[in-house]
Amino acid sequence: MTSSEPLDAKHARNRAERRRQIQEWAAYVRTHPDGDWGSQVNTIVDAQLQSARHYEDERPDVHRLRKHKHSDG
Amino acid sequence: MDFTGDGVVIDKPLNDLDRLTLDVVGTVESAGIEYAVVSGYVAVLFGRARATEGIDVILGNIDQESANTLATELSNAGYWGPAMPLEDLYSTLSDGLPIRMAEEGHRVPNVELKLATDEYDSASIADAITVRLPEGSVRIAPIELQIAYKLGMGAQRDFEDALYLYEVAGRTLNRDALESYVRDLGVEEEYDELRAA
Repeated sequence: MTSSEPLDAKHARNRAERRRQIQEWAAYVRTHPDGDWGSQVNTIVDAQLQSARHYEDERPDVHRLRKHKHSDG
Repeated sequence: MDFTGDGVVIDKPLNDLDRLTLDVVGTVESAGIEYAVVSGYVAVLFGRARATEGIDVILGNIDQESANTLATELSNAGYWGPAMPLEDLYSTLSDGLPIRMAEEGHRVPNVELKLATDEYDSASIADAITVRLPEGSVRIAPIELQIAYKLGMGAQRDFEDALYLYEVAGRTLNRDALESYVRDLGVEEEYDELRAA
């Protein structure tokens, strides 16, 4: 890639690459035992939830934000 | 993954989202309420390797008594409403708002319950299929409807969920049903893009 590559072309290339990876993973899931792909997916899902829980106290409370916004309005 | 006549059997180890889903929908069923799980979690259930923190559940008709039973059972099972108390479940749903719940003291992962509000929500429940997991079952909206609906949502992540479901279900998809949903939802262009991917 060069810095002169139009942004739209770069996005299209990235999108196509993501789609190709999704199709490859779907083919893997179709052709392998559930326990095989399931363990791999669980690693991602559980790690992300663990991370989200670790930081959940630092997230703004959406309900409180809405009330704050309404009281400002 | 085995697509049977009336559903799908997935013999995979469960993750935390699966366990949360089975627990909550088991409570919904015990309260005698029809439901269907929809949206991003369904793609993850079928093996899409992506992060999600929420599970979306559409509920069928619900009266105050069954809503109160559900709220009490969820509360007894250790859940709370981070933004809205679970005891307000019926009034919140009746006002057309979703109610979000999670394990007591936490906000993720969470389950968002909402009432069916249109024909697609109703079809999600009426035509739901059963996914059997090693430790329980969950009802999900038809995969064909999920694909068409996702195509209409517009975000890249939704298109990718639709593509994943389209690819993983493959020949088991009911093409007539899928194309009927595509026409009804006016997503022919996106469907062409999906098939060309």
